[in-house]
Amino acid sequence: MNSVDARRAFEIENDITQTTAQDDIRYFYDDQEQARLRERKPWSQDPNWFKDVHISAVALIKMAMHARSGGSIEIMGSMQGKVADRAFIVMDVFPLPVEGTETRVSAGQAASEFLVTYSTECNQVARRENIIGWYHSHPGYGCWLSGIDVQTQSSHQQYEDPFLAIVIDPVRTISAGKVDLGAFRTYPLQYKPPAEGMNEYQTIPLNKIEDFGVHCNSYYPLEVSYFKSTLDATLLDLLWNKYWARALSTSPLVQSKDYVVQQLTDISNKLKETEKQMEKGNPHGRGGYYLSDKKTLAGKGGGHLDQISKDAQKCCSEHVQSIMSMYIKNAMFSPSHMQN
Amino acid sequence: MTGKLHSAPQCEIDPLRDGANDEGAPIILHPLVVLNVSDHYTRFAAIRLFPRISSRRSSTDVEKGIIPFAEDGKETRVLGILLGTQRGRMVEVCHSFELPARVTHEGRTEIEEAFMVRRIEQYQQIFAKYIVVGWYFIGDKITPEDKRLHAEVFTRLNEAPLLLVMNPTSKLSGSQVKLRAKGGAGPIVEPMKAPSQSAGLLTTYQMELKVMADKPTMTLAPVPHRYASEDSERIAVDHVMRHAVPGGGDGASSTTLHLNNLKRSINMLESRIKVIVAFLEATARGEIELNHSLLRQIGGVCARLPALDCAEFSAAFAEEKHDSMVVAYLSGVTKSICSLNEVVDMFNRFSDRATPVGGSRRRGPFPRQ
Repeated sequence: MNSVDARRAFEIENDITQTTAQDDIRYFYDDQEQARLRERKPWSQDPNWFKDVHISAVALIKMAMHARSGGSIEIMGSMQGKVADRAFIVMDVFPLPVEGTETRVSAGQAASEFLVTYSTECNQVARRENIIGWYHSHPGYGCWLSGIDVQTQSSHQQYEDPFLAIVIDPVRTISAGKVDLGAFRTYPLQYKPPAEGMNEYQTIPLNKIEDFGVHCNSYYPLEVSYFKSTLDATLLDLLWNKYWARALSTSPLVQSKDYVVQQLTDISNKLKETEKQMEKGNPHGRGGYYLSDKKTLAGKGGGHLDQISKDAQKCCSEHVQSIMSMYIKNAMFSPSHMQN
Repeated sequence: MTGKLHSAPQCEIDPLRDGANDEGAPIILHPLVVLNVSDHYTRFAAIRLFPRISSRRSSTDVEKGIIPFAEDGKETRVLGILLGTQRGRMVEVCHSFELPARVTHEGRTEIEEAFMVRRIEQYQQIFAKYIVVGWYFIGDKITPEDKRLHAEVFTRLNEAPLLLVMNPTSKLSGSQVKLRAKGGAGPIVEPMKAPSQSAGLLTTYQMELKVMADKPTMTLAPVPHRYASEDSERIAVDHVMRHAVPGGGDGASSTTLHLNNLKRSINMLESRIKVIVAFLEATARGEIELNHSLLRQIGGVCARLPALDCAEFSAAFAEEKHDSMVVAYLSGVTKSICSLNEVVDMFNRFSDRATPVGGSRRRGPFPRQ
């Protein structure tokens, strides 16, 4: 047993409040420290100042559920929290009453009033965290900022910094079995981001790809992590005793059927589009180059076909993953069908 | 044919019914509510745990209702409203929010009613289907004052309000919980050894009419509850359960994650089955008395296996399998097209370099028609 283990064992045996205190300190809101930070404004100097986002358990669950409740309609809400060095800490979120459509969401007069009343009244229940951002959903088309989102976010960053944007995709959350979420901050208008490789590749439907491509260099993603309190950990442990059956009794295959069809349609549309462009890129009607020529597609990071093939692989791996669990369950609960 | 159909389950089995005591319990709790209450408590506890920082508070803070949470709940109380839906006896608790409440010198709890009414309106703007179904507080027992609140304040919002009491101190003394309280750093406690019931930590109460000394009196009686969740909620809860450690991200691929989840569930199922087997063996040896109702339940569960053994299911399952294979095939085809395209591309470029600029510039070894 090395010294670290020994110390941990000692802590476990003797002083639980100590560890509790250490773990839960981020639940304490130190307004003076926050005021100091807001006065110093280190983020105004460096457009890349913020690197991390820590999201509390309640905030994550609330966002995921709210996004799901909207179905195919975009929803929107506000986040309360604080900043710590180069990180945002999201303590809680609350939804806003907004009229969203399938492609955009924006806060109207009523929502702004709601936001102001709600956040002011939070003081009465010892919630002194400020509004530090907004979240909205992109049902089925991935986590990135559209042109309108970039506008909204950059105006917030101009007047209410520190401010953070979170995008959550409820449809992909269900189909992948894990929360699909991204946190972003925009760059100032005149700022030219260093030309670095695109971040993690994600599937974007054909009708959105233009919007994505035009704006994808005006913001950057932040590293997201999650935290919970010690009491949360205890409760979650107890909950798991009641909960395990759920993983066995749900099938992502059945739930995300529509989404799979949507994905396949999208892939076939993209293939058609690529074909069309190939024809176009071939004025003589015979011989010539495919569009995946790196020169024609400079800056796109691989050819169209390459991207389409990645989309197809992702769709396939999710599907195979679901059928795998179906097989396991079938093997467990109806052994007579194993000969198939 | 009929025999096959007979063996299929008659109705959908609710997987979250667990144990005989909460079979069909009319109270359904969502994990969000549990965590929301816990969050409320933790924030107050944080203020209490860091007196060094909180002692800098000015007296104006106190007037605003920001009072350090005292252990016995004397100055301010952690309580709030439960929102959800109600259908007959079934109550589903889906959301909650906190209320500002203070205890006066006489020991009366005063709730800021204007705040409460406004907040309820705000929530109804967003979640139109939710109504007030009850309230919660943090504490270890129900005092007469709580009964008064229940009868006077919350009965106005719902004629049969539900009361949820969370007692965070009850389990924190257990050694197993101590290990877990290290934030996942300690060894993972075998779930079966942990307190099997959350009773004590979380209890739900409802008003009950009882005849005591020939007089009908209202008392708060504990009622069993069970847990349910939406899919997105389940995924999010799973997510925080596994990944929410300080500084921890998720590096694992989604397949690993998925299979691990499944494995943990199967392990859990196995451990439960072992308990049942041990019980049956002990009964067979005559070590414990015959418990007919338990045996009947075990018999009922066994009779359900195999879970789905009918032609319709095999057909549907085979179809599903074929669909998946088609998807895999399509993806394979797309991938090969892509690779092929790259090869053609390279050939074309190579021949392009080899041929001098001229009329044949646009023609590679693989001209398209």
